[in-house]
Amino acid sequence: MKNFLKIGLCLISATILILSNREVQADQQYLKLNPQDHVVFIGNTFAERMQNAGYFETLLHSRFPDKQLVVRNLGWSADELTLRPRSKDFQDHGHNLEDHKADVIIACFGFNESFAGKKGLAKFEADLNKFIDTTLQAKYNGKTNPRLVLFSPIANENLNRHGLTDCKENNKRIELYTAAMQKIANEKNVLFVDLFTPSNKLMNNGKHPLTFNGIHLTDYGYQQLAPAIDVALFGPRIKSGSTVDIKKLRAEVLEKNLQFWYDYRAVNGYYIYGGRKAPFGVVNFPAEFAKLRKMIQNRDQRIWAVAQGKTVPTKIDDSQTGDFVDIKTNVKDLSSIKITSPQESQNKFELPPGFEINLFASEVEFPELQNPVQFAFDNKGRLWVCTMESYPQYLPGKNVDDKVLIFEDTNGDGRADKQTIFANGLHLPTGIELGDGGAYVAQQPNIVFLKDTDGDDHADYKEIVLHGFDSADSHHSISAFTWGPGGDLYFQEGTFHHSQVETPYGPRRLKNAGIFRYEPRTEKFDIFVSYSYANPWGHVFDRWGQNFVADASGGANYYGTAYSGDLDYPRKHAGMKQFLKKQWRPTAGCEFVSSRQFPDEMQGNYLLNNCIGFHGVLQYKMKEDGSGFAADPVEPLVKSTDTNFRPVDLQFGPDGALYLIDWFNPLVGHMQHSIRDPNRDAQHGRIWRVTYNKKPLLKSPDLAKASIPELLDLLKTYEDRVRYRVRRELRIRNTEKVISAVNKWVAALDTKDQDYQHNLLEALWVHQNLDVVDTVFLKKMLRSPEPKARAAATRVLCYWRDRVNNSLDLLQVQVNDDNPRVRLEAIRALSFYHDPKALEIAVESLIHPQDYYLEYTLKETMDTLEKRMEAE
Amino acid sequence: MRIPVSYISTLLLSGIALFFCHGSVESTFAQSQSSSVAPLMKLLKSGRIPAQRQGTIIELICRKGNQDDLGYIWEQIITDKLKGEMKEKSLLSLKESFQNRKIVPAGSLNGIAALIDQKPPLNQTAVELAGLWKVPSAAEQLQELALSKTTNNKLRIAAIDALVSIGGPESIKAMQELTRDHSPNEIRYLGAAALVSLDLNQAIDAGLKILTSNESGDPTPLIAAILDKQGAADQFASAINSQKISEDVAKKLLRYMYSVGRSDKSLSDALSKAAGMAGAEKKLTESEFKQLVVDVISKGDPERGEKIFRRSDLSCMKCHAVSKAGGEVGPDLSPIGASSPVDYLLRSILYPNQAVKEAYQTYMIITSEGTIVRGIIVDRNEERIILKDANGKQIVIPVDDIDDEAEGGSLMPQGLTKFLTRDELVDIVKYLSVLGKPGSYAVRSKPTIQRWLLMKNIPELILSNEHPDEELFEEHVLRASGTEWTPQYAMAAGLLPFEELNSLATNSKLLLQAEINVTESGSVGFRINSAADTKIWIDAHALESKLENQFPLEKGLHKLTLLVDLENRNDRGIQAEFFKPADSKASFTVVGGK
Repeated sequence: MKNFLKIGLCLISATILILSNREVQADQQYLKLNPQDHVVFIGNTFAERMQNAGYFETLLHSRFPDKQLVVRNLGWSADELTLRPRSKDFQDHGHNLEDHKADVIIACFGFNESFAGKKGLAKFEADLNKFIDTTLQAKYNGKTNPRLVLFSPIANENLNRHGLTDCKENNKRIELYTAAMQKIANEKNVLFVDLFTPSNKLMNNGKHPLTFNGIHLTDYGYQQLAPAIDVALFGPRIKSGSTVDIKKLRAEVLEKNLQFWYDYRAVNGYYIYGGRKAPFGVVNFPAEFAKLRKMIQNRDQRIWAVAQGKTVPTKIDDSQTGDFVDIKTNVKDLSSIKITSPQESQNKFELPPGFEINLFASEVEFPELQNPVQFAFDNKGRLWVCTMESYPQYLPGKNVDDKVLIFEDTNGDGRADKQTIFANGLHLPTGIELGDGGAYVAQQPNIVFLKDTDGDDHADYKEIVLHGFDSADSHHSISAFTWGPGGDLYFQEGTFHHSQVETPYGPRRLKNAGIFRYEPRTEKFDIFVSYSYANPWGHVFDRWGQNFVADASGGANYYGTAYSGDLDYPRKHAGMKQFLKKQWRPTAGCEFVSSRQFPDEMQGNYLLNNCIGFHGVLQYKMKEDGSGFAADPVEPLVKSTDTNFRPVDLQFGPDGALYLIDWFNPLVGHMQHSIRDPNRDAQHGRIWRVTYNKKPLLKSPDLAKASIPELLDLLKTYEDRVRYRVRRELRIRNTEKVISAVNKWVAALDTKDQDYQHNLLEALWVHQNLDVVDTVFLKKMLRSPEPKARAAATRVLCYWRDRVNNSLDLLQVQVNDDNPRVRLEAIRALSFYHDPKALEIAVESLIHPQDYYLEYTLKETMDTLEKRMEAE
Repeated sequence: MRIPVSYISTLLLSGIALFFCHGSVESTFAQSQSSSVAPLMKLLKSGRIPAQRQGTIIELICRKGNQDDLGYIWEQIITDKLKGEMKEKSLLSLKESFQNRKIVPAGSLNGIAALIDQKPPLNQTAVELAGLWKVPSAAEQLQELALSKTTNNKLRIAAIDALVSIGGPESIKAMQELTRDHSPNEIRYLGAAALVSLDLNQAIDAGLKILTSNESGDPTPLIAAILDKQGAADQFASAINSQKISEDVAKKLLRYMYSVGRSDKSLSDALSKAAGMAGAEKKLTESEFKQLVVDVISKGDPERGEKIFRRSDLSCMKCHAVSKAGGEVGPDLSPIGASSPVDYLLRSILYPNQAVKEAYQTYMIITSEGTIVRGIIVDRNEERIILKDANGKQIVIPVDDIDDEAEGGSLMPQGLTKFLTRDELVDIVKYLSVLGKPGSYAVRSKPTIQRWLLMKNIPELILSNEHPDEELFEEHVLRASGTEWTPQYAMAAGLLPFEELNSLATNSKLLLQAEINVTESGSVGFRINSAADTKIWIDAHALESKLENQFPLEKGLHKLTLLVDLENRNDRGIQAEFFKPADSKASFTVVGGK
């Protein structure tokens, strides 16, 4: 599936001829195009992804080279006919159908709607009728009614991948909705293209998969389907002597689409057209977008020229597209802006006795280290970091080149001496996590999976795996990537955002902040916490799988179990107390001390970065508080008097030292200065390393080279971060071998070891990582003598509930457990059910002693279940 | 009618308006036939829940139950099946279910009479419920409570509120009685405030009589009631325009108005005129604004600015803390200068609604009864919204009661600058602009004591006794009730200035208290700038009157008390801090906040 990118484009014209018009459902009715027509796509992720593929659009221009068609793709992840949430005042941004003067509208709906099944069909039909009527009556081009084409959803593909749905049920529903669309289109005399049938055929006949997750076409998939669309819309191609260079034409199409993407899906919309456009955005952005829109028109012209067989200069001439407004800083006291050298910064740190801080890397030795945001260690012990020199956002005409860098300390002196550029050309990678043989990287509004397939440490495979995370405020966008112990990837976004993501299990939506949870193996994707955060930027799991969340803007910190029960969009969890009393704000990143390199008395402490006012790492001592936790402040670990020091991520490294990345910037506010304030710094960035000088460094295990049994033994390691990286490594080993080895490992564990129950829990998490459900083992852990293990096993049960028989009976036992945290996990888990029995079980928890979190979570679970019962 | 204001932008694609219904599914929970709390009722009636744990389940039943479910709980209360604390809790749950959902228990409510006669705190809740449920049979009892000289203030206010809720000519008569000039002014204001919702004309007449009397006192209840009532501010404004009130009273009213984030034009103009202050503010021109910015940088004096910031008529510290000490409605301003340029600070004061940090966006709600509530959303669900107002008070509004709602900008009052000369504005912005920058206004790094509590009336026993024993000290100082104390905030750099405290001294003496939260026990030190004429206690244990003391502290909250005689002290104030002695294992934080 990885190398299809490389399959030649020359196949296209051949494929066109192979497809006969037997595939075409539209009888003799074809779409008629006039010169200079504006063709606009609207609809869901199928439409949105078309712009990255560009195959159909290339065919369109090659078929009508003289018509000078203006093609605009307004597709939007998970859009439905009547549900298209956008951030505030998006309608003022200039991308309504009137703004684009649409003559032809190609509408791709029905897939997300189809998850409502038979029950939802009547509503869908009514909505579709209304949509057609309204559309056909409008005059978006100011003169005539538009021509409308309806595309059916494509078929879903059975990838025969362990854990992933075979899509059978999906396809039944899609067929049902496709038939309804066809019926209504006939009644209304609207052109309809059935994509279900040809895509289904391609999926069944092809040697290669067309999708990467069952529902979204890969580049190859779009390439295969494009001719079918072309023929369905315009009839069979007559062999012509066309000399169009399809490859060149597609390159021009993709370049136009890229610039249009920067416009349509501009990041920081809140500062361009939304709630915070004044007083700064209204000054700089109008000129920027005027220029960008002229650049897009330039690209239309190049497309037409190439389609007509003309040659165009390699370099695009954008000289006539206008100028930017000169933006002056609003920093009046320029002496306050002083870039400190790494050495000067070094001298401004204060740490408790016995601690040292040293520079691991900086822009001085590694000029590419600019505005680093998040980092992770790979299984060879190397540090990967994403950088954002293009921050706060793309400037029209200036290519973005944000990067993922790999740093290595090859001689063990605690400083990086080697840098590799894993990926470049990125735009605002606000988050990164490694896994599954590559890297998951935020590319608002998407998440891409990048992978090196040929061993040169440079990404040569790229797939957008998730779409639709809002980017209305780029510094509220998806961030703080972290794995849960079960192999689930978490990331967060802040308020103002309206996100919607298509999954093989239906669309998932979130408005105004929350945390996402993604299982790459099964493609399950859910809203993990829907909460009215300002801007969460920190998420960490403790040794026993309990999670904690830091909200950056207000400096709030929350205990995660209590408010991560299920609820239905657009509900949000009620306000919950914080587990510690805020000292400072804003924060960015949290971590538990779990390193034998650090003093014994610090173990388990909660560390929290703070970047305005107090510049450093705050420290809190954790304590049990009934079913939950509380924490008290103790002496901060790091404190700097350099106000440029902005620690934004922290993590213990394989050597047991604490690593910190420093965004390094004299200005940080989004609201306090123009987005284009010249004093925003994009040239600096540092990585610092904190060690304790009274204890030795830890030996960094080479996980990448370790055998499976060696890896399993490493699960007994004290350090949370070692076990974290071991689980991540085991995920990419052969599933059967790992499972067979882990079962042997469990059998051989020393039952008298004081960590025996924790070791067992690690084995259960390995099962969860590999998505291998072992009910017998799970049941054993649900009744472990260690309550912390019972609580963690209850969380596993929650995510296996669809594959464990009588899971409600098991939860009934947990709800009546002696230990309050086990009861809390059970009450949380019950919110995921649609069965009235879950409610009856949840209230049984009232027989037992109560505390704040138990009461809070019970209320939340009851609300979710009651709402579902009302809706039934 | 409820007008939902969608704060999601609705996308106008292709001219089709797409409306999102964000959770506003028409709820029918209140009157629904089948109860959604059936499993809870079953569990409660089964007797499986031990008596001492019934609080939570009753709360949950009251949260969602229908009239019959609540009727069952009510019956348990009035037939004494629920006792003691459980009874109080259940009554509070019934109150909450009315506040959130306007739901009243089924059956007779006359049992409330017996509860009103009970001891505190039961009677307080009962009085409130009698008002919420509008129980006419309780009116007579309530009038007695409202008018009786012996009723305590909290209960009196509740009784008045209840009567306002029940309404009717009898209630108006009782309120009129309260406003008569034989009562003390603080009670007269309560009466006039109550009349605002019963009969506005009478309320304004009565109110003006009090405001123009010799001892005008604190008009807060009256002005608060007027601001809360839709349309009342305008009517009050025209009354003020035609009747003279003193400059002092006008300033008091204006100050209150601004301190709760209100700047209604007509009333603000009328009061400004009466207060002899410049009328309508004119918006600064671009060049005037630029000149202000220049002046802040070149001429502003942060020391003067800090004094202005601390002035009580500006109410800055009512909402904002500096170095952790002060109000917690707005953000702590300690690091503000480090992250915000001068023009941003100036704009935030002059035009507070222009840029509002996400956590401080306010909401304005007009209820179906015409009450205006403004504050930051603490929480909202399908049933109710909780707003936190500028006083830090949380107000619950049932969604069914919402007539109109809108985003309301910032709680930061517009028009504050009226109380400032241009030079003062320049100084205050300068002060804010240096907060958090390296130097004397840097974010504090030492555990200095920033928030002190000052005892209003120091007990004679403490003043006269040279060495009060521990028991005496504990009873009269450590266990003294919250109302005996007022917070006093040190300046950013830690000094608590005497000049602001002189008027609060009892026989030239100040009793000040600081709190420290110890998280790891061990030795803790205390250091003060001068121990002259000063007695020092840690908890009930007297320390030596010297500059530095060390003492062991266990985990938990501890109080450090100072008794300072100002008679012979000529220094500027107190500056004190806790510290961690060398080799101490202790870990602690100094308590700040409001």
